[in-house]
Amino acid sequence: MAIDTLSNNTGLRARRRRVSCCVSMLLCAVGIGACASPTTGGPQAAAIVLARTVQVDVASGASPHELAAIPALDVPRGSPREDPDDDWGAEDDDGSALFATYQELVVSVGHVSGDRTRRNGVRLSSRAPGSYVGLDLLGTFARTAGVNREVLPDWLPLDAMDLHPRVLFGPTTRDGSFDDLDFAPQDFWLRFNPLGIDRLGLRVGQFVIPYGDNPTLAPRQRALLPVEAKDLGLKWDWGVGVKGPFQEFDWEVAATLGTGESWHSPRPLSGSDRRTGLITARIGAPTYRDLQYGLSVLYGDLPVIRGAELLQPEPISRRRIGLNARLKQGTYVSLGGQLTFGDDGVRTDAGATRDVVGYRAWLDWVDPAVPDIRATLQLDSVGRERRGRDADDTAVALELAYSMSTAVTLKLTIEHQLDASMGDELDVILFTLVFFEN
Amino acid sequence: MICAAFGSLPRAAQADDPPQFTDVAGESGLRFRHEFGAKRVENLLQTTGAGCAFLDYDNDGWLDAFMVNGTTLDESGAPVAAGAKRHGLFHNDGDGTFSRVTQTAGLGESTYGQGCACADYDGDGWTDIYVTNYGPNRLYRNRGDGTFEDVSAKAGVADPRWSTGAVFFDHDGDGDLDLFVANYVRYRVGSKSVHASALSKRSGYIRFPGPRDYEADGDVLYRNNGDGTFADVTVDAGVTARGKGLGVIASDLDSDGDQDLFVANDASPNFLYRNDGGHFVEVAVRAGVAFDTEGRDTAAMGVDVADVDSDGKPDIFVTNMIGEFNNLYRNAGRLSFEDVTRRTGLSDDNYRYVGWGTRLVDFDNDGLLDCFVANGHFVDDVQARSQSVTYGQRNMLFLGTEQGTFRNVTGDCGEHVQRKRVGRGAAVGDYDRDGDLDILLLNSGGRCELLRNDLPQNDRWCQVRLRGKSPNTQALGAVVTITFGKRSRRTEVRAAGSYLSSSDPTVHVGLARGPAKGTATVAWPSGKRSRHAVTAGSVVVIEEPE
Repeated sequence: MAIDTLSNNTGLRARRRRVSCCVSMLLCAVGIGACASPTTGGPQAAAIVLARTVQVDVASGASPHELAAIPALDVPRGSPREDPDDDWGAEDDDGSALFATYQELVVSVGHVSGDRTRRNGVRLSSRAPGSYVGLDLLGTFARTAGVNREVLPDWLPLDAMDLHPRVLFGPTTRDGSFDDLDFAPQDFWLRFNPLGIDRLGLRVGQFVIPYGDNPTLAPRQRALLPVEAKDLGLKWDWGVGVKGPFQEFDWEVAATLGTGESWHSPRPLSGSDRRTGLITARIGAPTYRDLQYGLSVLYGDLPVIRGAELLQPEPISRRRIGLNARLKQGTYVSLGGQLTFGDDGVRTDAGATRDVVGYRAWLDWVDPAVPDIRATLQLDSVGRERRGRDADDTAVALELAYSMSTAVTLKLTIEHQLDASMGDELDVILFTLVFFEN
Repeated sequence: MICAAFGSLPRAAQADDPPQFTDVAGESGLRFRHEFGAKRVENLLQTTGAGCAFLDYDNDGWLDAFMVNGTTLDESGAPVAAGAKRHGLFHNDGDGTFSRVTQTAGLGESTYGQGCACADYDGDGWTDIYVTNYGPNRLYRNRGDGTFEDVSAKAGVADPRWSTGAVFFDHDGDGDLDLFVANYVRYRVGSKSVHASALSKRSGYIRFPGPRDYEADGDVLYRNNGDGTFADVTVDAGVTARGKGLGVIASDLDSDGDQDLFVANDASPNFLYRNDGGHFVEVAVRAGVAFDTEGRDTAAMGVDVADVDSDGKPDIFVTNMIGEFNNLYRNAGRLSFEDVTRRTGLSDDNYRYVGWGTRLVDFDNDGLLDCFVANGHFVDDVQARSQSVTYGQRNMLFLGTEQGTFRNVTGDCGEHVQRKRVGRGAAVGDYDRDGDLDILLLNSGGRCELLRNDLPQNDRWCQVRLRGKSPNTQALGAVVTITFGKRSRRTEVRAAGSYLSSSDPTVHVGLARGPAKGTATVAWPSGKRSRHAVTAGSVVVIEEPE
């Protein structure tokens, strides 16, 4: 009832004021009156405004001057051209042009027990991550960057690069002998954005192959690695790869040389028995999802590699299918698993193949009370059929990491080998210092 | 005459065509570039960007723009005088162009700005500006002659901490506007006492500590004394929880007639303060808005409130970090919320973006609320580390459907919506008075954008601007229900929201097809109610009845 009464009362006022506003609007429409802007002022501006502005209707109790009749303040204004604060600058173009250089030092010392062929004691370790000095040069490129404007065709702009050369020092062979300094990048690529299509990337250089686990960031500085590191001996390879979207999934295909992190006598074009090559492909949920999963395949001829070390130059034919999943469970816990199936064909065995099965399960946890402490538990295994018997490499490992500062992380890795295909089962303790700073 | 004019207009835009947006910032004179104080992002402070505002500071009926800026800080955290950057106040000249008036308006001081709240706090009819800073906040009182005066110290609102979101609202029902200010974390420029934890490194903070590495700071509530000064009533009012606050918004979430508060907290649980007669009780966990569906605290940044499902109760939308989807919390009544993000389609494709500014309004005038999100990452070299994520990111626009869901139309709204920018603040208003809503964007370390909505001219909209009695002259907190035919839209009058930003408090509703005459019912903050006839395609100014 109260509303109705008010409505009736205000309705009368509204009609009176509509008239007032109508007059005001008519004056504006013919370019007369105070609705013209004082700066650009004049009939023309008012007419333009009215062309884009629909009617102003002032209803109950409204002030008729509100929208049109009140003169704008005569505020002194500078022309944008003369404005000292005008730092509009160049077109942003994704806001993405930058270069960044990081220095890196990783020192990993280990103690191995149970190896009857070696002296016990603490020494620099040849195991991943090894000991090395690295540089990480990152670059992102705007469309207007010189290289894109003047060098590259419009349809293939350079998008980003990551040049991460490393020089390994200390023992780089499994027997602990010093094997010179080794140049072994982990990421050394340029990425292009063909046709400017969103989420489409073409990489050339050395990069993480699209097979097996698909980490958010390349698995550097780590002792605990995906199955493929133990199975194939590599996670990085040299070649060319394409990545793109398929609905809500990502797909990636790569053709690489099969030389691994280092440059292990690549002979991709020769007809010799040491010719290597690799095709890998993956489709799965993107890395930024809580639940990430994927299916990947690998086919090619690979030498026997362990990280930066070439154990056997003669390639072995490999076929693999990999399944992987990882789940981010809350803020502090992640877990994941991998399965891989396939076979190895040995050329000297007249086409014979041997089955390979691998798996890995891991749990990653950051202490909520002390978030500088991170623990990772991993069980991984690669089983190979060998002359009628199985030859497995199975280990359980625990890694404790402590973030001492933004640049420095200390890691303690304890690995117990349950099965070893070559030699005795070992117990390994690794202490690793990681320094990484911009 | 009015009827004749309406008759000459096209009746409605094509309902299925997404609105097209064109960035006209440069050509309109809105030439503002945000500065975060370094060539590269070197610390957490430089990641948060800033907010922006649409306001009519000179009451000429045209929306002006205010852009918050950062600047370079010295070791002590004070702005470096040489080359100092200023905020930007741009006067809307009414012909599609803007003129920068920052200095002449008295806003030329350099501070490390974060956000802004715009409202007429002193009830003189002129919109004032509160700027949150890393460092003492500033309250700029509008003198009414086109200039502002800094009354921060006199008003007692110069909180020296790292403040972010702010909102003017009447917390105690006494008619004047009080002020809530969210503070982020305890951070000191140049201090090496905090480092990136293992948790932060795992999340991508490898160069500097992230938000989880810093201690949360407390927020502050100022009561308006009615004489131009404020009193800190944080403790008395019960607003004492500590979170890493960013976006804030005031809304009557429990429909009991007073204004509740929602604080989007980064890397800590969100807060929902239920207003019990001027005293607040934090009920976010019980209400179901503290966490996401997995029970995690999210990196909440921006927030908006709107009645998405037209059930008369305001729902909450929160923008989050990459790897988390944004959250639409449906208000089920009695301060109980349900996360309906996936069900409504608002989770589509936003896992890979970091969301900041956001508004739930009707961009295509079809009578259904749409959702805009400004995106941008915080790690400037992420594009070279990740094969999926970029620093600059495209914004997102979702159109509401009749089924109560949203349709991602980002790719169909013009290249300027899709191009990648480091988005932060976002404000909405009809700056060109053509009957559709435009978007003002502040991009961290880059040019601002003014996304002009180029919806075909139509009369399927209605705008209502309230003129309240002093001291709440903008009637902030009023509820306007606009009804055309069978369709009603309930909208609260507010300015603050989004990410550290302030939008035009004019109520805008799209009308779809239907009758040209409708009604607007206003529930004023003073408790009065009024009802008015309104017409499609018009701006209606309603004055609070005696």
